[in-house]
Amino acid sequence: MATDVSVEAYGAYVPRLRVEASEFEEAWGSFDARGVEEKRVPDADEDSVTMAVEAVEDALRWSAYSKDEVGTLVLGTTTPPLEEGEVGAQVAEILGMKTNTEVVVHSGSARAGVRSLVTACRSVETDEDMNASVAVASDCPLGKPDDSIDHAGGAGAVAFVVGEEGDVNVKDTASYTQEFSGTRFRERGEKAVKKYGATAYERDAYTTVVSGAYEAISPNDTQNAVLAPTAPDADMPYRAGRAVGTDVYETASSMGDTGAASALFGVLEGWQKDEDNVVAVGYGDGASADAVRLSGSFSGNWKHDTGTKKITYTEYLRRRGHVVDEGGDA
Amino acid sequence: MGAYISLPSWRRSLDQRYRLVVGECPDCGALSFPPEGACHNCGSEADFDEFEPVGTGEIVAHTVVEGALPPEFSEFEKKVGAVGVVLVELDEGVRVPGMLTDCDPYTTERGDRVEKVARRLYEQEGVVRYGYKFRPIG
Repeated sequence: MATDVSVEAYGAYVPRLRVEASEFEEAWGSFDARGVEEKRVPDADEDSVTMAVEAVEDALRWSAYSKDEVGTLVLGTTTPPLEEGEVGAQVAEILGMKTNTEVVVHSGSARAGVRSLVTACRSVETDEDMNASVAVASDCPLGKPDDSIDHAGGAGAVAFVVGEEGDVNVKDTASYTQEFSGTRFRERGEKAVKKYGATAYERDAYTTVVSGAYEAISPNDTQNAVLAPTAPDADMPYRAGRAVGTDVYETASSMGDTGAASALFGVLEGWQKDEDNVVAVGYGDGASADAVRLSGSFSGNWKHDTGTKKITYTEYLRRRGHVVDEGGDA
Repeated sequence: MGAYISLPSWRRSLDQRYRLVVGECPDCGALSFPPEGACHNCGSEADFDEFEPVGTGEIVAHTVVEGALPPEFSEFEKKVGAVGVVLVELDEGVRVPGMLTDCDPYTTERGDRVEKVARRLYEQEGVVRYGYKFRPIG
């Protein structure tokens, strides 16, 4: 579907805590997240809500709009603090948005981030009175300590301000859905994401569905378009890139698996390298994907780091709550 | 027991917890945080004019709490250890208390510039309580 809207500004939030792959090797004898060299993790007082707030504040700072002018706020995350409950309302209230802002949450799939961008675009496109919408993808996936999902699990948030005139045009959107059950999922009541564990099957699911969405955008348009897909590690994205024959941008190698936010981080990485024709593909295991083609670029460094803190594996276990009982009021 | 705050009471303070909304006395112009009761400067009982400060300021008092936070913070304390607690004078000229985050609480000190940031304060009865904290401006 062709669209007539633009990304006018973006913002990002990267937590300051970082842990290197070598810490996991020392603890477990191996590190199972392919291509990940180090990753960022949330501190004990951070979650998908607080990271989303930071990314949106950053994006609005660079945009022409105040928080009162945002018509729609769309949040995409696989790690909402609650399974049921309007976590989007907390993001909107912390930001101080007006009460008639349309608030939408996409969840239950790492596809949710790019899906939020699609929703934000449609919102501006279909509502003549609306000047701007904001899509924010914020995520901090967690696995069981001894598996590749937890080794990869990172954190971060990206926000895009969508309006009618901006440096980056949203050219087309497309989807691809085909069942590959069990590749990666989180059961009710569980915090840890798990997967079935058949590597070839998982690679087939990812490559088929990501390339399917990329190719669903008409071939002329995707000529030379680079790919920024959901990146569960820093290996899978390149398999999809080879399948469609294009360059790939991801941040899993330096930030870990940022779940629903990962494809949008890939877009920022592409823009920083002056790419002006990027297809973001949000991939959700199971499997379904959305592709969005973005034409144009924002120059400059997207990562405004204000100091990082390197932590050990034991500190990682404690700060992420792997070894801390959840306390109530004692 | 900690100082339990019911959700109805908590909700009434969200503008302060989330965005540090302060009150300006319509009679003398003094600022109050939270914007409740009579003006501390002139005693006026007129309604405050509320506004949202930028959220930056300077630490004017600082202490570090080791293992003595109220029980609702116990999970957080187990994860991070010692916690910095500060009084900050916002650039608009009003003083507000808060916790430090994203820093070593021992090396952060009086006179340091900080900015507000929304974080999880604690979780109680399954409900996450969010609120501002302060982090040093790098």
